[in-house]
Amino acid sequence: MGLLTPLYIAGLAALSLPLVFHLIRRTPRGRESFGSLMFLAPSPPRITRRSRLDNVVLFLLRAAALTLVAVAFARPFFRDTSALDVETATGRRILLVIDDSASMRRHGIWPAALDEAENVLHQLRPNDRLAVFACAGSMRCVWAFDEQRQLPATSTAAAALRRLRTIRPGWSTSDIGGALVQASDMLDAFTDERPTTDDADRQIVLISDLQEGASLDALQSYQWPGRVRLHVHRVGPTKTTNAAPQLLVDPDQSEPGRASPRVRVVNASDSAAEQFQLRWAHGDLPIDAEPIDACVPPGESVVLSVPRPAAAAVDRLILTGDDHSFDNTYYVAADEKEPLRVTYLGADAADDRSGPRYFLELAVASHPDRATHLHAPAADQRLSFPNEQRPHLVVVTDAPPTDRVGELRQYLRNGGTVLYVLGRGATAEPVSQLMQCQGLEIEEAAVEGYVLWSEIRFAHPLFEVFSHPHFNDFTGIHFWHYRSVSIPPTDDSPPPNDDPQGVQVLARFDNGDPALLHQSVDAGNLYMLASGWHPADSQLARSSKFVPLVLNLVDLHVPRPMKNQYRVDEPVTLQASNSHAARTLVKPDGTRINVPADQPVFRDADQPGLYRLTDADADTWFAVNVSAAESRTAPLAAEDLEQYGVRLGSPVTAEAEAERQRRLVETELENRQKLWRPLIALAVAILLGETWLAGRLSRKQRETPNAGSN
Amino acid sequence: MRIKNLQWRARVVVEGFCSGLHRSPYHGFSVEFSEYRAYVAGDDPRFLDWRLYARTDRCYIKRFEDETNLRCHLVVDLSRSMGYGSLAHSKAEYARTTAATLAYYLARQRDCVGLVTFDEQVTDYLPARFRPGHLHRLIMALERALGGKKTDLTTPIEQVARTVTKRGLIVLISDLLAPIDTLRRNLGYLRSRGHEVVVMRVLDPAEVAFSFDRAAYFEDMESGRLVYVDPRDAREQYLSRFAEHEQEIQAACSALAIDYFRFSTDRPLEMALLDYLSARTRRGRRTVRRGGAQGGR
Repeated sequence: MGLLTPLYIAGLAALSLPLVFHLIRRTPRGRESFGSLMFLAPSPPRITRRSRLDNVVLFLLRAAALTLVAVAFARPFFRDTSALDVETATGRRILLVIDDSASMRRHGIWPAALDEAENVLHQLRPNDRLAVFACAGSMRCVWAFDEQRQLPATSTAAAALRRLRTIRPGWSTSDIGGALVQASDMLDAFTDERPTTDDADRQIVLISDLQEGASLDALQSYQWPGRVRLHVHRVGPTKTTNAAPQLLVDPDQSEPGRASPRVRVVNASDSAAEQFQLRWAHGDLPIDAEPIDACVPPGESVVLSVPRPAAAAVDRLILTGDDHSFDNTYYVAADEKEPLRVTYLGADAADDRSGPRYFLELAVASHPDRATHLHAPAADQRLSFPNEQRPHLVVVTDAPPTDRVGELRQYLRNGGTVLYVLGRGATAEPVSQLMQCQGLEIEEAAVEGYVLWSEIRFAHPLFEVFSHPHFNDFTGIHFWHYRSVSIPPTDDSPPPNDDPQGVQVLARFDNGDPALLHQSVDAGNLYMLASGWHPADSQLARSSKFVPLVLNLVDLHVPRPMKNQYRVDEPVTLQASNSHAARTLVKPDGTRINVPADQPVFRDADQPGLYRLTDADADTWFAVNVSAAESRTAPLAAEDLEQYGVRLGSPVTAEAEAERQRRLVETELENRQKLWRPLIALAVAILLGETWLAGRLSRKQRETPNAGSN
Repeated sequence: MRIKNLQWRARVVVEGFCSGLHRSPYHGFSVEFSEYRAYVAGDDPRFLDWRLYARTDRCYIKRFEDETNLRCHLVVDLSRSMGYGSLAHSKAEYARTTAATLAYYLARQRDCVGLVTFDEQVTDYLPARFRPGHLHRLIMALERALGGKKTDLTTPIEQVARTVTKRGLIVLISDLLAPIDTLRRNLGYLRSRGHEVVVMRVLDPAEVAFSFDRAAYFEDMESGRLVYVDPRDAREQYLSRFAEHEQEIQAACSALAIDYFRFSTDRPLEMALLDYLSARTRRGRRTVRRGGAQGGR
């Protein structure tokens, strides 16, 4: 016999109340004021008749009812009437999440994490359900809930542990927040055929170093399920000093391959040391140069210049002086800018601030990813465009002679881009030859005051960057002079014909004349401006629209150079290949991957180092480094998770767990037996009998008023 | 007692019975002739009866009864025990009304009335006077709230005896619920000073008959002491002690020729006063005669 809530037995103390009330000496409650007590003597207290128990049977009945109610509330049960087993009564749903991010590569952490996982798995009971996930970068299933069904109940832990020992920490970034969100969603939605007795038995066990850089942002907008609890098993290294270098991109860097790039050194806040050394290296070969000392206090970062050795090529920066080397190497790919070749055909000089060349040169020189080379051949110089020297853009501001028009036409057919500016006194003949248009007329337009651009085709890729309402206001640009271009439609083009003879009007003046035209010539593109951008013709060069317009024209038709610095797991944008042959990508560990020519993005940059993309033309190198967040290895307080609403479970001792199991069994037994029901029924019956007896005695007392009452 | 204003209450009571029922203990010069006395050297020649001298050629002094020179002091107990009342009014209200009625009555006869109120000590003292506004002051003093933690009969009487040097009437109005060990001595001291003393004992009917029937804690109104009393057990002893106490008072008064009257608060005041004045009138002349023989002013 046992009691589920033995505290209610204390209610039996109420049995003493009738006795106490009966036996208490009744004292008079009245009080009389009197003039003087000089004639009065105190009377001795008198024991009244009510101090005696008159009806023992009634008292016993009431006491029995009270006893039954108290015992029923204590919820009794018989221990030996049911063979309920702990193992069959309950079952937990455990989702084990192990962090295999780069910071777990620190010395001694991963074995400790596996030991923690082993401890958790050894505590599995046959009725528990288990899943194991690795969470670096993205959630990867190591052991699924369903796999347990195919194995004997006792061998689940061993099998899951074997599977767990096959994984190793990678180089990815921790996203603990995202992993916890996915895990809790999975656990909250998980259902199986057995009902659980306790919702709190859905638990996530997180084994991680829980370092500062682990992102928790995903938890910010997440409502943590009430029935899922998180148990954090933190693992940490014995030595905590960790620092990492990062090469900074200098936006003002005018010289590619600068001799003294700036390097930021970040020291973790729990580091014990603050003196580190930086040195350049090339491959595994050390460079014979003095290392640079960096003094970085714990929790701070310092930016310093680290000069490159002048005589040797380098491809990585190595930091020494801390306890953990996983983030000590920063790989650097060659950072030379791709050239941008522009040929200018015009008569004005480079330093003529009133001519168009001056503004064009300033605009193309501001390209962030390219080194611009502007070439202005002499008027009588013959143009030659060999493949490797072919200009990316040809700008014509003066009417070219006839033989040069033929060369431009050929350049266009080979995929070139020509921007033809109709200057003052422009004639229709060279333009007609270049565009192969019939009946094209060009004449100087008579402008009263100024004209503006209107009817701009913002859907065209050239103007797409201006399509947002914040940027599409061209009304501030005045044009004082322009050349009126008229292209008659051909007879076979269907009306309405906005693009006569294959020429698109991308913008018109507000009087309806074309302002900017575009014609596709085989693989090339010809743009024609009806007015110059220099101050003699318009305000275009001095407006905020000119530079983006020119750079967009370049980027539209010139292959974008490939970025050469990436983080681990970051998608690598591949440069389009000129040939259709497959390319080969060599990873730092020597793995070769065939990349199709049309594949735009490479998503398997899963290790730091230098990657080589071998094309038919040349090799392209790019560097992949460990995320800076992984270098912030100071431990995060587990309580920080609670700030995001995560329900943390307290560590459970073996005794507490055994006690909890015992309570569960007792609750189950009591639920099955429900002895409180007959006890309450018996109490009600006794009270009914007591009521009947009391009524009968009361009637008898009324009938014999002189007799003693109960 | 339903009239709240004490002065009006006294007036109503006074008008309920006749006035002028007492005589002055002194000889004076008023309209009522008393006697002739032969002139001796030293008498004031203003009082010679010149008409008689003209007729008989002898000098006689003519004496009259003095009706306006009664000096009465009302000594009123206003201790907390007087606040007890089993009826609608307390003993204190009854005593105040009695004192006010006497004062009003005497004032109407142009007598001088003084007042002494006390609880455990003398709280107010107004000398006996007859002047406009004096009656009002006297009644205001009577309306003072009850106080004190006990009743001390010794100190007020001693103080009256010391203060009031001229003979007169001393009326003690109290419940006399206090030890009377020194009462006899102090009353005798008053009498020895030539004062006529009247004791009016005001009692509640419940105090006389102890008509309680339920056991309760009885609280002393003066000391606040609580005593559990079952009336069924205590009544007999109470009545016995009460009677014994009253007998001692009566014996003391009788020995000192002091008029003792017991007023029960359930009896109308005018009736009680009428009884008192009637009895006093019956004995008054004899007393006056005896007092008048002791000499004039």
